[in-house]
Amino acid sequence: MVASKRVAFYYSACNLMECIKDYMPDANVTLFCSPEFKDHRCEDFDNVFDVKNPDFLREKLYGMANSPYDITFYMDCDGEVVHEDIATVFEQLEDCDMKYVVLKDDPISLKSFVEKDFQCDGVTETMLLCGGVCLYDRRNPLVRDFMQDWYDMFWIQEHRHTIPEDQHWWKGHGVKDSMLRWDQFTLWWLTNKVPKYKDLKIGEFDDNYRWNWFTSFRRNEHGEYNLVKKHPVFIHHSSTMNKGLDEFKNEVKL
Amino acid sequence: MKKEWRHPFWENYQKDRITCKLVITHGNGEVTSSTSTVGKYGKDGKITQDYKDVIALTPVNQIDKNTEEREERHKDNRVADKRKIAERAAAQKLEQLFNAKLEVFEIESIKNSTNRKAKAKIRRSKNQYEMMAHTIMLIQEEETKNEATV
Repeated sequence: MVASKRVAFYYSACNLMECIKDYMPDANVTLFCSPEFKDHRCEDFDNVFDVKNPDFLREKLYGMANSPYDITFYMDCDGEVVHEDIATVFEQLEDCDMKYVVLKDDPISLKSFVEKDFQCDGVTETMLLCGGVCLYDRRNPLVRDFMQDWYDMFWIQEHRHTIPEDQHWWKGHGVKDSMLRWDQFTLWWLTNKVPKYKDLKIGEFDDNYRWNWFTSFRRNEHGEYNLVKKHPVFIHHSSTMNKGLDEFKNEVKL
Repeated sequence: MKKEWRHPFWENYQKDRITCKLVITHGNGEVTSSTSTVGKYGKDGKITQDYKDVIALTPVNQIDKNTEEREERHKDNRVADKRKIAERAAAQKLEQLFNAKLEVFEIESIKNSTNRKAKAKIRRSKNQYEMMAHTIMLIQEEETKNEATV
């Protein structure tokens, strides 16, 4: 997991690490984080590495590219593990190079997350892969290149106003400027437009949203979680986590 | 000018007022539409021409059917709206609980506690009351421990 830019992500990452270890005491959990966030809880992680650019909101891509493991399950840190099946996550990889949660069944709440449908080269395209969690095998050098490209290309997107236009890899494809804020767009590009990666085996998790269930999907009137067959493993509070809680220390007094 | 009365339904149970969509094709070909209420009786007590026109186009039994279908549709919408509100409230509760847990884990004595079991209980709390109860127990335990070491 990765915590940069806002200390609330660090607090949430500490909680997530503890959640994982509640169900999987031997899990290896690595954190990439901004150096100024660190406190004694870092000792409970197996590894803590500094992010490369602490002020960059998408250092998750740096963390993913630099995982110390062969097989990595990356998780956005603004969520919680709530089911013991987290211990089986690595079985999900099967013979794939990468596994993602696929944004399908078009729940209304997804429309507010991203511009799912967009124009590229005059064709309507759809971003299907969600970068909230990702299971991947770094033993394949292509996967390592993929993750590094994801970081480098998104970095150019984010810094396009200061980076020379000849590096704007999306140029000339009729892509709306607003698309450039999404790292999911970079992910779409890499998986759909880059010949080098066409042979990567990319799969979908079993019971898909179970591995990245957004609270905005909601539960039905019987208290059951929508869009999943079994209880979610990872509940993602991405759209709602109080990311402004950077002053916990001053505010919380009992 | 051509008047067309579409999708009529009874506005009241006395069945003497109809609501429908009035589509007018004007002489210049322009088409306008509006929601219109057609009363059965005029001020003179006689059946109005508009009412006759509506009934000529859509028989009474079809208007009955439209009315029933509309009521059913509205009933379904009310149920769906109620369900959505309840689902949204449940989702908000879940989110508030998560945020509250994060805040609790920033309380110094809890942050520094090594009691994994007690912390797991806080993490797995299903509502804020349960979370608070476990939080207080852990704080007290930590305070007792601190007092003993002083």
